[in-house]
Amino acid sequence: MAEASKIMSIKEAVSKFVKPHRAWVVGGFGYTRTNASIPREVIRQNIPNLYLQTNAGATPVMMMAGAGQLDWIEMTYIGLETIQPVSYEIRKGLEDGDISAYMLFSNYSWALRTQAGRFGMQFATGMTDIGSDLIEYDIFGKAGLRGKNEKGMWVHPDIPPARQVIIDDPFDGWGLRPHQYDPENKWSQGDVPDTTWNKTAAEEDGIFYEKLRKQANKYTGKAAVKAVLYPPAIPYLATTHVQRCGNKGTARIEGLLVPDVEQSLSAKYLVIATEKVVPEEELRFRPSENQIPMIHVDAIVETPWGGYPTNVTYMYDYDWMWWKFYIQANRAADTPDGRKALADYWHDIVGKDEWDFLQNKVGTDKFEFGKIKAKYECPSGATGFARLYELIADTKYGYKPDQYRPI
Amino acid sequence: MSKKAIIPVHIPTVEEIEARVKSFNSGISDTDYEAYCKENDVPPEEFTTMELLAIASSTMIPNGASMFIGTGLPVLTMTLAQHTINSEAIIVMEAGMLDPHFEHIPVSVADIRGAYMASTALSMMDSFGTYEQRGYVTGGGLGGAEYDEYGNINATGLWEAPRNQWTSIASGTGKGPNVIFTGSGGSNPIGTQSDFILSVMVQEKRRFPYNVQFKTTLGAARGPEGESRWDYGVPRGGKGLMVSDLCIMENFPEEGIYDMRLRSVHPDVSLKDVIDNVMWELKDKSGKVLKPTDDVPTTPSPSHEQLKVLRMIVDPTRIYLKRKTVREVAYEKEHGKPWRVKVKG
Repeated sequence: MAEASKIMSIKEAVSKFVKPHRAWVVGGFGYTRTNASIPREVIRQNIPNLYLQTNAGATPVMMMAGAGQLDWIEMTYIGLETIQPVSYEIRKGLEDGDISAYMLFSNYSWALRTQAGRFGMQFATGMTDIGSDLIEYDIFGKAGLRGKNEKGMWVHPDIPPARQVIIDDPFDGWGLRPHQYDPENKWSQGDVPDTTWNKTAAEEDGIFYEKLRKQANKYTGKAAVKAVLYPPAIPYLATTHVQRCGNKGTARIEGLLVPDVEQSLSAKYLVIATEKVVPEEELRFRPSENQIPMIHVDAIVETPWGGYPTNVTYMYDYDWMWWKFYIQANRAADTPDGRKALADYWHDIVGKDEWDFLQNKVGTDKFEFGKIKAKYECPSGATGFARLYELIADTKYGYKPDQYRPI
Repeated sequence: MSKKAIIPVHIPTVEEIEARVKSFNSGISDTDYEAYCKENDVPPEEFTTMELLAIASSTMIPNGASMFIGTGLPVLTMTLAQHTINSEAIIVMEAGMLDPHFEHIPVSVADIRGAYMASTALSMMDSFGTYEQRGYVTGGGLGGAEYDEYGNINATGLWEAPRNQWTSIASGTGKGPNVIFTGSGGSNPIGTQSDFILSVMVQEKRRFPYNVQFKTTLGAARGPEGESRWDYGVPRGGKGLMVSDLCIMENFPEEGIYDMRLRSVHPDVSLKDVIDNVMWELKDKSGKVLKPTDDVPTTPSPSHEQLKVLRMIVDPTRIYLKRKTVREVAYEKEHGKPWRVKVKG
């Protein structure tokens, strides 16, 4: 029986897979290999009430918030780092109530969830978030979105019954590093402390770690070593941008993997957006360099320059001047009228399709609202493909080493 | 529990720092340095607050330590440490990089510039798992919006009634908190799993309360007696250093001192300014509550050699060094000239 092709247009992929209030995890991190093409198409199709998840990848969340299509977010960090301390339209959306739910995690607790999701594990364990207020901040729980309904089914299929569970470690802290070695034990006579570099909580001879660990008396009502159990992430949809994807779905990421492998493999549906669709054989000569097995991939969309304005390592660099433009424009998010103007900017700049965006819109950004006047300006004045070609990466570095990056 | 059960990370003392800095020579000639300063319009004999922060922080990194760092000042701090008195120090960045040696300054912890010459560039899961939870990160460089007496960091938000901490789906007001910050990102796990936290922040009274509104990242304790991080099950860490634009603070968990005590006041800054810009009673290491007239140590002045490296090698285009603190902007407005302090020694 002939296998149906997974290759489809971005328009078809978005209308088929992106659903309101269903968990959509978007790949990339900040300025690196962000899946930007699919969010652009979601803006074109104006799909409302999105529920986005990311591990620190604020860029697509920023786009969706700017376009006014976000309702729930589950993420770890909403900063744009050097260029803007907190992504302004996300912040104002949350403060003013337009984005109604914000589920907070740290980069590691979210990574643990995706790790569990990737492997089909019932939970993952770690010590992150313990003792902090993150443990108590459960907006989905407070909103009644956790647990089971009267039919005995999950209230929301993408939301686990608890943010986390803290238990007394059934293995009594045996697995924690530095591990405990006893030089007086007959099986480990003369043994030395663990080779890991952390030494806190060691006795002065460096081998007994239990006293501090067993002092923990919160959460369970008992003094014992604690363990935090994190439920898996099982997003409805993952969209991930890669450099190359085979025609059956085998995909290879080059440069930083960020959270993308775990996230991609934890989802119910996975859409790969790729700079280039290549014959599977091109990637199968070195299968150890591929990260995404074709069995997990439900759709492939070819989107050259689909990571713009972020870096797609070894292919092109981020467009710093776009960020310079945008952090002026997004100050309009201060008021409802300003947010409307910002949404209009987004709905215009994405063009009628990716080709229109790349050829006619890149580098033409302009925004005016009240006293805010922002205009995209790069040193050459180039727009469209001429500007994109200026961003082509140096193959030694994976980026453009002489890129002009004023703060 | 025996107090000596906590083995401290050795943070270099002022005397050790001064000795190491004195013996360091950059190899950059004065002529080249002066030409650079002229071209970039920076006085060769004077330093800014940003330069002082980068230099002071770089000297306190334990020898050969591996440091989990974010962008901005921590990048300068660690690159400078590697190029001056701590060449064996290792950088870890959360997008998966281990021991990179930057040729171009990264603007993000996931900027591919931050992976240049790294041993490995794996995934975020590896940064926090393979490197950190497994036990190979000595310290973390963290910022934040609020910082309290016990070294807790708020990077999440602020609220005043009728608004509360919840966003509109559950707040009951139709609105979210008054102010939303970045969120934890890597801050919580870096603070939880490393042996010490080096925090760098601008010190303003409102940002240094007795108790932060939201404990995004745990310091040595959530509060007094019975609230230490070990009571909550955190398996390591607790040592804290705070480098603000006014002073340096430090705690001593190995001696049962969980709150932050004054270590030194920066050159040309008064102790009164430091005391006026914290909400708690500032103490010295002995526990004595400090008065503005007390005699306290001064943060070692940057040396010419450290300034040469910071300016000419670490951030030659002044991507980060160009930044000014709120206090510097106010000074410039009032006095019509930029805040600068002369190199001593």
